[in-house]
Amino acid sequence: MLKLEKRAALAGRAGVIRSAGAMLAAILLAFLIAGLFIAAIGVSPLEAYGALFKGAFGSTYRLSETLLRMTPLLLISLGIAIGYRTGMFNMGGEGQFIMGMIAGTVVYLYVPAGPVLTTALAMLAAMAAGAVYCGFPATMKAKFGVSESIINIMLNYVAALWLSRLLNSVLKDPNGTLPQTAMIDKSLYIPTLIQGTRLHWGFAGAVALAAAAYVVLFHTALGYKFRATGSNIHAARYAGYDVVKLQILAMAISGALAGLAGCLEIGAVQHRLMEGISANYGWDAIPVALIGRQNPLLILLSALLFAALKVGSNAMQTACSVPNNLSSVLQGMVVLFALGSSFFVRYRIRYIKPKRGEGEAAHG
Amino acid sequence: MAEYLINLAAQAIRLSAPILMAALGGVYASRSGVLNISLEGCMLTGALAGVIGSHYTQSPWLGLLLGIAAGVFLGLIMAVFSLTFGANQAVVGTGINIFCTGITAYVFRAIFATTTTTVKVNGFSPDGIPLLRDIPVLGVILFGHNVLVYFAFAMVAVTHVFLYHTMAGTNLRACGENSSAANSLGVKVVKTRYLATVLSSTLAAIGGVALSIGNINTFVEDMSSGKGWIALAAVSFGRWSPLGVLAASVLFGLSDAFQLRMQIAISGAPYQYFQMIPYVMTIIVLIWTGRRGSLGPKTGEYFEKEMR
Repeated sequence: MLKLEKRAALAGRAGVIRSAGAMLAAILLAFLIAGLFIAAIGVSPLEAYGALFKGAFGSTYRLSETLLRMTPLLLISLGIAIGYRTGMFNMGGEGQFIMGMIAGTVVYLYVPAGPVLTTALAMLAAMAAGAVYCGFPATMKAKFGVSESIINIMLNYVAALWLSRLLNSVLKDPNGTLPQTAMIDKSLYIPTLIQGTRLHWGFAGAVALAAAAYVVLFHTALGYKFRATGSNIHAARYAGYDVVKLQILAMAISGALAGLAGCLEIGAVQHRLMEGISANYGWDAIPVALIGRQNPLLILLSALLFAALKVGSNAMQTACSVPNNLSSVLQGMVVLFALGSSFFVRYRIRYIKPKRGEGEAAHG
Repeated sequence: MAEYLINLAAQAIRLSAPILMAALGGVYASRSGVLNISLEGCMLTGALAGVIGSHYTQSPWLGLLLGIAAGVFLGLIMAVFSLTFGANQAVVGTGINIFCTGITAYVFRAIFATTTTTVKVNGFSPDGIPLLRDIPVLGVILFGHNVLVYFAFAMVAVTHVFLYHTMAGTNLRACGENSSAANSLGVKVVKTRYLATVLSSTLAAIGGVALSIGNINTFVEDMSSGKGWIALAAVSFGRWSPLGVLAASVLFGLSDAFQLRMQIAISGAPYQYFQMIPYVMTIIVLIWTGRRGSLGPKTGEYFEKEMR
């Protein structure tokens, strides 16, 4: 008969290697099963994955596009990690991202204060919008115990609908017919990092923020309080921490990061607000944070992986007509298999020969 | 005006059925101590399964069967990962939701992408119950619906009787109230939660079937659009009881029917604001429930056998 057995915990480096191996196995298994889905529609999985890989990393330009897509994913998922560590699950990245884009665009379009000041104001406005949009459900949760996840998800739909309304009314480009705003002024474009690509300074900023988030979470008193609240809220309260304030603050930071991502998307990439602009970044950031184990440094890796998936799956759709939604299928499976593999890091299945009579006893 | 109200009420009943089904699923899961946030994904998958089954067999009943199969499968995934592997239930549910978003769009495109016209399949007949449907006023409101609507309402009664008037139901509630006490009284906590979880995902998937082949007879990507989450809100608003959940679901159905009618009634109106109504109402209702300080059963905790 099969029996579950706890493994001895591995200390230090061996434990890290085992965890990393388990994660890698989870990713490989997800790709393997997704390969079956590809084969099911009559396309060679190897060919499709080849197109995906080439699409994501095949040239300097492709790589720059992957890093470009990585920027909002990274920022939003860093925010999710900070919230999660404080005991709050921020599933509202999509709404906060959209609100950041709206606030940023309004400043870009209507506040002519010179490039530097306008950009700074746009970023601040976007961060404030995201912070408020996430701070509200966090307050409801911290004060009344209302599910922050459900409110955030409702707010995602509200934000998308409001964006659509704005683009068909007050924010609509008066000189155009499409539901989109006018372009922001060229002087306000966030400069590119590498010439000939769209990769912008926001990417460098996002990576720096990842490092900063790591330091804050793991090497400051505030980060310690965040994590104490997240791991045992009763103990944190007993220790005298204002857990309500800490949770709201963590979620406000979380929303601000998503809002900032929205502002960068306008200032550096799209230069105008239009329908469908959010491209599901806010939803996609959730698995990024989960796979990155809510650790800013690991999130750098998972954001890169999922950005590559996002860019590569579009290339795969063009080259082999495999629907690009395969990337979500992969994301979901990686999240689940990672949970499964971390179980097998802690346990092993042993086959034990049943002695006479013991088989029945086990059922009793 | 009277006719308008009658039709509004009838539509509210019809639109509440998918939410009600998923919310009843939520009642089973949370009463047993499981936080099943994968209801949204189960609904979406059930909606597609219903369309696929009906498309290939021309029978909505086989569509329903495929939807049930999908729900059982997703429920088992939820159960294995959260109850056996002991993973965080919110994370497992999130993983399932993401997977479902992807797989439904992928499969839908893979099967139907070649057709340029919208796919219409055979749905459940909305003819209602003969004779009863001819009763003035009430006939239209209550008896002019498809069979899934009646299934949903019957499930309210079944769930009520099961939870409060059977031993198994009492045991299930005990798992959510105090799992170690239940365990010491000989209730098999993990097994009970397995069944409750699979049942909850399956009911949500049937809700999805009602959404597709019990309503518009086609599939649209992301067509559940938050209804699984609204169902979760209905669970806490309905205070984890079948009758409360019924009232909450009808309220959400009414808000949905109202906004749909407003969109049609006022052409050129800012329809996005109408579409926001169900979402905004969910938020208001949740906060109102929370302020009254209802805690409900303890969900989300891993029950390890060795703990006894």
